[in-house]
Amino acid sequence: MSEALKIDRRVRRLPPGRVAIIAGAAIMAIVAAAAILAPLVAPHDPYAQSMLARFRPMSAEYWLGTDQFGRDTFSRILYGLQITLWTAFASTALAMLCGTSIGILSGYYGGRVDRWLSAANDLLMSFPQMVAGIIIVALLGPGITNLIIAIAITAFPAFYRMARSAALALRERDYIDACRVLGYSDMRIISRHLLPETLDDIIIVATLWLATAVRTESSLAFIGLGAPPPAATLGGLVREGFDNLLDYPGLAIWPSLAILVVMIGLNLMGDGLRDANDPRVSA
Amino acid sequence: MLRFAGQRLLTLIPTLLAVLTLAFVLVRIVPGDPALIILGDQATPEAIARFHERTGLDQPIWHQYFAFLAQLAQGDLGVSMISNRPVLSAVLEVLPYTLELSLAGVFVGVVLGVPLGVVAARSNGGPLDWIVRIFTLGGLSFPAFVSAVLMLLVFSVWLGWFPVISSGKPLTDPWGRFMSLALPALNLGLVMMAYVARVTRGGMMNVLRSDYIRTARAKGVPARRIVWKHALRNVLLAVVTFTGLYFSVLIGNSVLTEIVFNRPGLGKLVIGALERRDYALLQGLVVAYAVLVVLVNALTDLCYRFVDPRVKA
Amino acid sequence: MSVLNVNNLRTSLVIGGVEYHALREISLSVAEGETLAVVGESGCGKSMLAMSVMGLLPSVAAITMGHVTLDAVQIEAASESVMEHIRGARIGMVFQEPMTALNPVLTVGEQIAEPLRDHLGLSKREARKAAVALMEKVRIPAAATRYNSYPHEFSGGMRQRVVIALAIACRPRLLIADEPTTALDVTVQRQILDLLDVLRTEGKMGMLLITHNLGIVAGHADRVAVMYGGDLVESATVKELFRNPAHPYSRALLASLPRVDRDLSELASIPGRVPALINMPEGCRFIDRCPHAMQRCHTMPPPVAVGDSQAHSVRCWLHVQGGEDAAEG
Repeated sequence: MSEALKIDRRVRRLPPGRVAIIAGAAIMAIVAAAAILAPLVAPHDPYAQSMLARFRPMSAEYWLGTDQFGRDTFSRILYGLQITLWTAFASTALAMLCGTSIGILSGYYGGRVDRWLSAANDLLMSFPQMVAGIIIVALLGPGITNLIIAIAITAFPAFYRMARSAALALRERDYIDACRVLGYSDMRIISRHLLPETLDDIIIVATLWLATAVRTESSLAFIGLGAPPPAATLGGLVREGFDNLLDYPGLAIWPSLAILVVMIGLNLMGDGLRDANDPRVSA
Repeated sequence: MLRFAGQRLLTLIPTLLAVLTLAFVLVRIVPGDPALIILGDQATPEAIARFHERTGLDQPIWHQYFAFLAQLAQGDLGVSMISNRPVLSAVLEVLPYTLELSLAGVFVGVVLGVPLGVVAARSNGGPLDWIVRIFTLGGLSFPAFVSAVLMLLVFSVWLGWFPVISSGKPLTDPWGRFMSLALPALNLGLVMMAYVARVTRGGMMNVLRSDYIRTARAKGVPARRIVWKHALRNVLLAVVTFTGLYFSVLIGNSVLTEIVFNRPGLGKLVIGALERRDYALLQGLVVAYAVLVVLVNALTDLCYRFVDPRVKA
Repeated sequence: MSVLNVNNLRTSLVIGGVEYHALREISLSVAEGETLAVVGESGCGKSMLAMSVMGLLPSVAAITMGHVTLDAVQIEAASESVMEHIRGARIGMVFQEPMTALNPVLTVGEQIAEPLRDHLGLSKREARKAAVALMEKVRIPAAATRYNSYPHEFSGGMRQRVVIALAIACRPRLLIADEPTTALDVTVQRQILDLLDVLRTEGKMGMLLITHNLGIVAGHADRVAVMYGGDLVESATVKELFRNPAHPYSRALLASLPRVDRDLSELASIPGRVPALINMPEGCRFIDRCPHAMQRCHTMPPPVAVGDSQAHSVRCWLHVQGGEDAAEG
């Protein structure tokens, strides 16, 4: 009957993106748990030095070996994850709050302020991220808070732009006019109607920016602009490992893998969320 | 054509000015007196005063600003506070290396990324599509320094295929130069390749659904040509747009790549300036970067004209 | 001498793992120099019929029964590479939306010359000359200069002329025009349709004209096939259909045409809607909207009339011998 049709009779696969979201979330859950529970889970004090235990290989006592000061690599990675995740989440949240609110207000009210803000935003956006990050951190000085601010500033434009274009699009819709005619205050329109509409997009942008924030933080740490020593940052660990690359490559490999795992988890989630939201994507 | 280029340059000037002003302001917001930092806090007041005089820091801020702009107009990026060398010459000395690396990285990213994206789009949910999607996900997840370190480890240290220190070789040694460029370029191109592949895939899947592709099929155009000529040319617009936007990220990654592979370039200069608190050098470098980005944007716009006949002068 | 012969064609569509019959037992033919109009509402399968003939069905659809014969060669099961040689060379197709039918980054001349080089093996220069000649034939002014123009520099009507030019470039035997004027201004519509008539006669082509507009049918077609819900419900010469519509659907269609010579207070329309493919009734597909529905119509699809192509054939129980008697009980 249907030789001509190579009909795929398998029931349609899972909804698009579902696998990616779950996989990504699973990875992030494990990573986040490890980071949060670091003080409990870490077998050693990440700052404890021991000149006798320098450059130890992987063993039962030092799961991933030790570095040039005898510090346990595994414990340091756990604490490094803490810093990285905290920095990423805080900076993304900060950028999300500021960027979204200013973006919506700017798009909704329009006018000269909007034009200036847009132009300034475009400027900020076109500035090389790393260079901007370097400069801001160099100016503000070392420290996690400044790092968070620096990354938030580089993340701001994405949220601003998305929120603004959403506001612009929705502002013209008929039901917004209807709301105004009914006498709703601007605040009410924005919070009850505009905000929920943009929520999906905000979440996707936020998830993807988490990955970028992790990348930026670890890159800055690599060149020495991260949280200052003795704090253990993943990027800093890679740097230290890099200095000993020829003799003890493991010191660079393990923190690199840790960063990689976090990025993969976040990217998976971001990908999955984007696929799930996009009406045209097939599983 | 020239008129178009001229017009574009005119609109760039306000942007350029804004960025330059930003550079000026940023460097001067620095807490603390550069004199103290460079000369050390044991410096005598006379030494400090001399330093201020030499670097122009004793003038009122407006004076400094206009001097800054005037200098720039003459192509003078100032003088390094430490080495006393003109910043411009320091920049020009290493600029070719950074440009070479960036262009090579873009080349790798596009030449590898576009075919990957096309293959993925043709497969459309099939096995090749999934392979490419997973591969690009991986590519996106490597921060530039992580991939650089791992590449260096695997290909230079363990396998010995490439030199460990790839300081730029002179033009007289093309093979050596190529070998020292290869790994860094690959590193830079890796992430870009992942993005380009995705952009190409998305664009291709979109374009393949369009009416004019249906017309081409109805004309009996062979499937190969439909993909690689009729469809791809329309997707290239998106790729060009993306490359223009991505360039600023690429520059940042080149900084990291240069450090790991020990290549001369703007990146190392920036790090050096940071470490030694040489703010004049830093300011000049920011200006250099800004000019570069603005030029690339203009170049991207010009590319549009070539790729899309609908864009009018 | 028939150019196109469609025999008992069934095209199936897979939705959610289930197979549906989008086209049921379609039989029609187009003779040389003749225009067969295919009429029906949106969703009746007219475009799917064209795509089936062209071999351009999407991957979820396929011909699962019947034959499509082009000049005595069966093509319904032909491989893609064979079809690539047939499309553009032996069958030309004009689509509905001229604004998006042309590739924006290639010149118009290049797009017309392409099939000439592919199918007729012309050199670049020869193809260019021939393309310019074609552009003149479809009445594009200043053809030689406009060869290098891009589609966005043309109006909708002009673009459709370009599409026609590339469709007939290799002198195909059959020209399929799927609602070629629906997206155009009324004045331009007339020009395009007249142009198609001229080209058809000149090129001795058969034309399959798909439309939902009965006015166009009356003015430009020789014979007409009426489709509903994937079925071919009636087929006749144009004159015959307008004079003696047999199928209840055809009758309703013609009755709904507003006429200037009668007093109109209301526009007549056909109550109900075309059922979705997944909800098609077992028997006759028009059953929910037919004023004459009988018991038999529910359970069995009416038989397809077998007769010569010139006959007036109807797919309806009302017109089967003894149909009305068997209806009782």
